[in-house]
Amino acid sequence: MTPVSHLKKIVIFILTSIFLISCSSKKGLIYSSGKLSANSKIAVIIDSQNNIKNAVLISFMKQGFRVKAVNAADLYTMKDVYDISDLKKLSYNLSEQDVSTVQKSYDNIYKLHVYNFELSKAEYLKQIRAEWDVEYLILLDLKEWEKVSWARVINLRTFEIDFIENYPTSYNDNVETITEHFIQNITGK
Amino acid sequence: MKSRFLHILFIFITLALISTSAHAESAAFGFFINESSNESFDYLEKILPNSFASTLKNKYNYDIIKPGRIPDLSVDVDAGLKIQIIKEEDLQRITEDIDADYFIFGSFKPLEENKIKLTISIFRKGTTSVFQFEETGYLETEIFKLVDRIAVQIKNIANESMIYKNGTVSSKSKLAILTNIEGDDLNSLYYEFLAGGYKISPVQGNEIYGLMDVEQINKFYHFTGVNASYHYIHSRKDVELFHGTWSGVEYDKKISDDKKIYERYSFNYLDTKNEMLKKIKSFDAIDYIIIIGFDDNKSTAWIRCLNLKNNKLVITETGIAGSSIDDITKKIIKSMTTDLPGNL
Repeated sequence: MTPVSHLKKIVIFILTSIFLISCSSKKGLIYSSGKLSANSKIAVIIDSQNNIKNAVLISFMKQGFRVKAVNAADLYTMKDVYDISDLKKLSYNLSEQDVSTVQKSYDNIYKLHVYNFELSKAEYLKQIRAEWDVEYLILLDLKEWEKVSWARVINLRTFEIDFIENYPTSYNDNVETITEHFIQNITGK
Repeated sequence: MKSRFLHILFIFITLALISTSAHAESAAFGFFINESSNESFDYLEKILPNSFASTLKNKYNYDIIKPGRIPDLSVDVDAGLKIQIIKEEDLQRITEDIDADYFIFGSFKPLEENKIKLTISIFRKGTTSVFQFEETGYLETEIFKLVDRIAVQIKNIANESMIYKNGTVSSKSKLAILTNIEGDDLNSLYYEFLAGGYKISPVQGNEIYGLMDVEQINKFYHFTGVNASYHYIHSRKDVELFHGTWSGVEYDKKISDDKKIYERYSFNYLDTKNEMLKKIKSFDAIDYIIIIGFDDNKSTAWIRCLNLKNNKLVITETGIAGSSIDDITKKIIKSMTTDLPGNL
């Protein structure tokens, strides 16, 4: 073998490897503890532009789901509630000192606020269940080709995760096909 | 000639590897203080640390230093002097000249029905943190069993993995998981637990985006339960907030508020946390809170697990390595469902 053809083979090997690595290497996965009835009352949480949101909601409604109007922004984020006075009071400049009592207080305040935040969200979900009559919360994140789209279904009666799926988006997928794929697996139809 | 050289080189490398893996941890022991007023138990103050030290040396090849060899702890008991309780804030000073990786000390309290409760503290030299846990057992008949059990705990805590276990987590349990991964990665983590039969509370999983990065999840690295904790050494001296008649009403009020913050979040943190856990328990039937912290590359993780029925710390483990999130999660589940390595 000449050095040129040897070099050619190496280049081809490297390019093939790069191509294979660049394709989504993540595997799909699916877990379902039971199938959702197509006439269930659901709220869909998705962070996208309104036209994409509408396309997703229409896909669910076409299948018979009773879709309640809940927006992702309704579940406020931690950034909004994290600004608390106790932390501000502790914000001395301690960069040159090793004062573990202060560090401990910092960390513990943060931990308590994470617990408190999760509790507030849980109370809000309970409210969604009781007052808006939503049975399932469906979270969707739709990604482009080479990435992984995912879905998660929360049963608001048992307060448990009933369904999860990771779906590596394929080249021919679009918003409708990915949503229909998830609906198919959520309902088992 | 060449093959002989390679042969010698191979033997040399093998010996070097063996000696590296056989590197012994070293631990120094302080006295275990009798917390009761019953002086007839004082004899255990020396016997307990010496027994732990001997077990670690004989069974686990630890290099050990017994309390009698530590100058700072020398007390003339014959002259009627009492052994002093070691304050955590003095650990840096006490261990300064001790040639050991860990310093282990504690206390005990005799209980009814011939039982004894021990509190064991493990301090890694050069750090600002202490791992503390409690063990209860019978005196006399089962004291050797208790010593062996505690020695196993010490051996597992006093190393890089910092493994502590106070039971296992059954696969029917409902878990609330807090972690620093999101989206499809979080689904991969949930999948392993769900496939293993666990129920998952949607805590954190009810959002599209994750809330915590590595720095934020690491605030949970120090963790406290009613039976055990890995905590920062705290000292009132760190936060002496001087005030007096000279300071004025407004300043006095500010100092008083600051003091309340330190009381609530540092000195009495366990009470504050338990109040919060009570609210969580009243809301949802969660059995365990699991904190899983991944590093930036998601190639290693640490875990803390708290039993919400009794607020006990059940598991700690650090440096759980794997090729992917599902691989690491499988290892975490294995750790949660198996007893301590080497436990009796």
